[in-house]
Amino acid sequence: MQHSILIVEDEKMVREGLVRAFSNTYRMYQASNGREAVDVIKKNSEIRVIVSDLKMPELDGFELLEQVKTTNKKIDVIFVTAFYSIESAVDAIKKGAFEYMTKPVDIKKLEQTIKNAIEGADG
Amino acid sequence: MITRQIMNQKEPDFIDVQPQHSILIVDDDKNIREGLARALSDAFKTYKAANGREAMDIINSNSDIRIVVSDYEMPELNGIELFDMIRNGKTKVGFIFVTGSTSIESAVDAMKKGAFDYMTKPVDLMKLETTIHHAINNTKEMMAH
Repeated sequence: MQHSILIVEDEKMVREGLVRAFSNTYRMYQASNGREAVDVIKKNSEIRVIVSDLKMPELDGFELLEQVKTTNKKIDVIFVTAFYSIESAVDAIKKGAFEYMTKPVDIKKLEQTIKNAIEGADG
Repeated sequence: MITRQIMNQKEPDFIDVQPQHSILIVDDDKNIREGLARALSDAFKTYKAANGREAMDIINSNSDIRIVVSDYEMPELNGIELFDMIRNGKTKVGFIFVTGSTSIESAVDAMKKGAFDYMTKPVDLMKLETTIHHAINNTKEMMAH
């Protein structure tokens, strides 16, 4: 069975690059900000993992995480951000993010992390 | 006579004082270790260790220790190795990292493993004290369940 994942990223190039990188393995959905992401999740209950940017217009990564954790606890959220700090990384994990990675992201590592999330492994 | 009476009347006040919780400060930098211990000694009973190995010995012989405030990079046994040993043992203590390391990966790793917090140096003492109090309440809840 092919699992579904959602890429949330306001930068088109990065978003489409990630979608392309994983489209052989997963069924891909995409959104360009948190607000769009919430709509996509509502309409597609099979989405299991969200790979999201942090800094985005309309609804940022943390707000998206909060919405996901209050409405659907089964979805794992992996952050991939260029605006990283220890404080936001610690905060993200405290709030229930599955992983917090920095840009430019190592695709192999991200693929393994998505796999871990789907298999329910920790880290 | 009068003096003694006053003293006797005052005595019961001490019964209401909250029991002091014990914490362990682990840092290989003596100045930081002593500084933190001094800063937190009003609020907590503080133990000190210069590395993870020493910390393990102190934890094993002082069961009153509730919280460990530890550096990351240290000789002999570093912070994450100490945390791993504690997690694998029976003792339930809250773990707070206070580190000069700026690695996002080690921060995320520590938090995923269940560290209570991960703070960077120079640490805000007020924030650290508040965090220790939160961690104590958190381990209380953990033990109650």
